[in-house]
Amino acid sequence: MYFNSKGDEEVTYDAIVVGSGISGGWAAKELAEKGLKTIVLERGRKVEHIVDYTTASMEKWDFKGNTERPTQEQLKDYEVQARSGYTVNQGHSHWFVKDTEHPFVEVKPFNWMRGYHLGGRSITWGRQSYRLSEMDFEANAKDGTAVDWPIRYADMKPWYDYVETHIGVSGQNEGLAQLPDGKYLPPMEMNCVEQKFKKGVAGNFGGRMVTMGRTAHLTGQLSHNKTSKRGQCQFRNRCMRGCPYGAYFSSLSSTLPVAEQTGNLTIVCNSIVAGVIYDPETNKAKGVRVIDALTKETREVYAKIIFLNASAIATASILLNSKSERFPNGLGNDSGELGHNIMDHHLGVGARGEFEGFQDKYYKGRRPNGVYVPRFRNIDNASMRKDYIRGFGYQGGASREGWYKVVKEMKLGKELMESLQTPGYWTMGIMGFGECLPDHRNKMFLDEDNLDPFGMPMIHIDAEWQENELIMRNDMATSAAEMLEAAGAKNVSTYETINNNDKKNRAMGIGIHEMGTARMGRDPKTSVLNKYNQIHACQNVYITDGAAMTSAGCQNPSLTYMALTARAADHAVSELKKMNL
Amino acid sequence: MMMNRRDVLKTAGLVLGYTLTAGTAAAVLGGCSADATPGWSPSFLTADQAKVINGMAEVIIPGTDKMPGAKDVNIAKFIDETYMYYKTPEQQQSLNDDFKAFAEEHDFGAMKDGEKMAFIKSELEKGSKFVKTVYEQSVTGFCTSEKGSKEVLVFDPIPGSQKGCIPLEEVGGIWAI
Repeated sequence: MYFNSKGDEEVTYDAIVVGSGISGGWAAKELAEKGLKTIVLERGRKVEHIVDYTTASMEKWDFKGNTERPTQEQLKDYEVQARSGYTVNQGHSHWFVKDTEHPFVEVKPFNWMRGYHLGGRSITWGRQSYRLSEMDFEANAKDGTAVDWPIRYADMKPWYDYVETHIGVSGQNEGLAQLPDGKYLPPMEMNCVEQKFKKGVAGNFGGRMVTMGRTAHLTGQLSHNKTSKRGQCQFRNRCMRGCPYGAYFSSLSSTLPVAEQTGNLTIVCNSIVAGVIYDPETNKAKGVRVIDALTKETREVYAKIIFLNASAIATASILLNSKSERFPNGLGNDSGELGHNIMDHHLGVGARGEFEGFQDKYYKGRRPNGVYVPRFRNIDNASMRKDYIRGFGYQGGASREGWYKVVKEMKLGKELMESLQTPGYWTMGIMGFGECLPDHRNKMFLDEDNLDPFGMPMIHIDAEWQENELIMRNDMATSAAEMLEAAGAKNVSTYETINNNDKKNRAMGIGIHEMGTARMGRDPKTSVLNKYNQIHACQNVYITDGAAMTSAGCQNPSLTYMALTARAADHAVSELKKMNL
Repeated sequence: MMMNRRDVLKTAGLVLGYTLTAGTAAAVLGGCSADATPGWSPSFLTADQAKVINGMAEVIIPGTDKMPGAKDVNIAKFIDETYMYYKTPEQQQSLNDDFKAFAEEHDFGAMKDGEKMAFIKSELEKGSKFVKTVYEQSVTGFCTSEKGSKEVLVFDPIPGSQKGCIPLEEVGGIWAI
């Protein structure tokens, strides 16, 4: 990979990609493969695949007190990032920003989890990979919410096929309308209690499905050999530390190496894009203004096309900070929707229970994946709800209680030593991932009188779960308990962390699926992007990260960002060839 | 590691655990060290507290003739680090208060070996905060230690493959991680 250190000598490229995470890596790969001299501007530090996965092989006892959880000292720097309960720990807190160094203003509590380094959150993502379906693309139009998507599943299907084939997704085709089939490597295995749950759900809730989680891990050979950096999953389940086998998809294991092999790629780290430069004579963007994160010096980089892939909030912030006579409220903000309609997925609600039996059964391998219950509400006439629209899926799994059972048993001495030889009873939990509606009230904005440490106007986020989400959650808890009970679980209990005890920690952003701030749409008056992810009134700027999403579905969204990116890059290059950009 | 255990289980025809692993064999052959971490001194705990904690931990987790116990891993060091790095000032203060209250009533070090187990059991049943903390921390410290993970639990750092449903005897114990 060529890391440009010459500064201003070479500042003109065919394409600029802002951000190197899941969608930025894809933009870089597609544009470079199609022959464009492409520069990736990454605001964070340079990271090298494998070499910088410094904790990848550490065991519990390699950390003080045999635990990788965060120290009290560490927590002082990660007030927001730590709210998830799992993102900040000694094994991988270096993949998350220190809130003390990268402040933003929470008008209402908002859990904005960020990773500023090459590869972005593609290193730490959850890897669950689901397609949106036709009913997701139609949803806004059908129920009259926000604006219609300008595309349908047929527009996306070939691109889902394309990105799944490249990244490798392990999963099982089930032929469901609400969760389209894909190009899958062999699925991981359910354990015996999950199999029992699957049977119990199918037998008691006609048509309701439990399938294996679809996850971007290699469980078989990829059908291509474009990068040598991918290996098979070893089932260590230490993915968030960075995988030394390259077994899951990340920008570092998959897209950036392919882009690099073309000879067309330049990556410059520590480069914060402050704004896009608009040229009123051509009605196009001509480049970006960059702040050096280390020296705070500014410079400009120029290109024919610009892909913004900085993540939903940061991408919108760059556009809001790109003011000109033509765009006084920010580039592409003719509609006034830029920065609005923030969505996420609401979670932290579900149920768990115990299963008797299977005492002579166990499992092997730490499966970095769970089982998935595809959406079953509001998908046909029989499943319509009166109290809310859209739906949710569940992710979960079963396991046998480990050594901690002896504490509950209060065993001592010889009895304790014996008890440590046999795992405990089986438990299973499922947690809902619910759709969040686009709502104009959920927004972010900039305060130009209040600058962050890099001289950028401070980002303010003013968003919260709205009525439809909160009502849906009651059903998410109840249905989870019903399904577990029907499958034979005992001592079933539900949990709900937003309506109840943990409001701040479970505030919006906690799904780490923030999206919607520069939505696609058919009408420039009500949307920011057209059906190819171009800014309506500045067509050489493409936005293909979460900002582009018109609605959220209840599926984990990264796969859709990848497909949108590959599709938009294809469009951009063909438009360039036609001299349209 | 798992293959070793499985092979040992098969050949020896033993049930669930109590197998001699390479690590325990070395420990047995070499004799157990009287001090698992020579030269260590506590940072958060006092030396007295550390002594009482290790005394209790050795009763709670005695080990067997084939498996290590608390004496092989220095539970006081684990609790010292836990409180030093991971607990809030309030939690730290609470442990000190609980220890003080406990020490005012009981002299654990002066008890006869034969009395200690019954004492800990009755304190746990009575809900003694200090003894409960030491108990929970001892089990946690032991089961997350290298020796506990490798020689009492079943440790497989790189499984290489995933099986959803296999006979328990193929694993022969509780997965350490």
